[in-house]
Amino acid sequence: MKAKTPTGIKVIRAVTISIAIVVVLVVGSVVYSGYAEYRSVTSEFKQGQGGVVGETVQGAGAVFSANITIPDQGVYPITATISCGQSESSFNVYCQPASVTVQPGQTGVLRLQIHVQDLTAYENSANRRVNGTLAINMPPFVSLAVATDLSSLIQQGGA
Amino acid sequence: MNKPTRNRRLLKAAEVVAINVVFWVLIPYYAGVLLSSYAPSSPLTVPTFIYEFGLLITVMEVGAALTEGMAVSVPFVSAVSLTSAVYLWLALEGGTLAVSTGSIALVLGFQPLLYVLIVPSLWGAAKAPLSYMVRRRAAGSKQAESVPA
Repeated sequence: MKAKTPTGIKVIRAVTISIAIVVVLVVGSVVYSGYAEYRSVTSEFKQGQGGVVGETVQGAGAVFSANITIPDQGVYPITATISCGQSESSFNVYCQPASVTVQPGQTGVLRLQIHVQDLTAYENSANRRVNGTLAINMPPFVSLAVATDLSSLIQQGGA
Repeated sequence: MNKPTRNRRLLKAAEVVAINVVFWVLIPYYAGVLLSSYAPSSPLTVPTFIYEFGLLITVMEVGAALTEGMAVSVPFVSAVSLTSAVYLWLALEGGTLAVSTGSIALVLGFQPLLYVLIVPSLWGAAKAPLSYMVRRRAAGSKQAESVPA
């Protein structure tokens, strides 16, 4: 005759199974969303549609604007933010920080504006680095911050 | 409560050693070899503490296998779960991985996800004494029932 399993053991088993299901669902959905996001962003940039750069000359300076397409193919909404840090050179460059929240299955556009107050000083400078940070948050689980040089956007806009 | 035989315990201990050598030594070693051959300049490396943790976990799991069914196996099982949680936390650098190559710096934050990943290990640490107490109590009440009045 098979021994009867105590109720306490059944409760412990139920809790173990519930924890396993929740962990698999959460980790699976986050990994899937991250991978889907990576694939859609890289394919946008490979097709050359990821960023559109424009230039508007204002007196001695110029405003470079970039529209960065952020598609969300995952299951969580994402928030993308782009901002600039202090530039290393004497020319006065500043950014208008931009942020966009994209719902799953939709596409958002991040509108970044880089203001260069003295374009001649910028072009003559040996160090044209413009520190920028792109932050992508998949609340509440994952956040990714990419710090890079945004001066290529200025070069593209000026080309 | 059925106590496993000595042979069964030895067999389980051998099984634990074999699985742990694959999981804690061979897989990290070959992952490191692959990483260094495909991305030699990658700042990501396989930490050496993996082997130390692997040894610690193997010793404790062997202890748990050899004492299966006895009260002394409970601290072994709980310690394995707690060590796994600590290992996961250290290996994933507390949920913040930072990589820097050339002019690009990447910071990946996933602390809430790490908490979710650690929950099964922490539950495992609590489950071992709970299960033991429940089984012990059930066995005690069964014995009391079988004693004639």
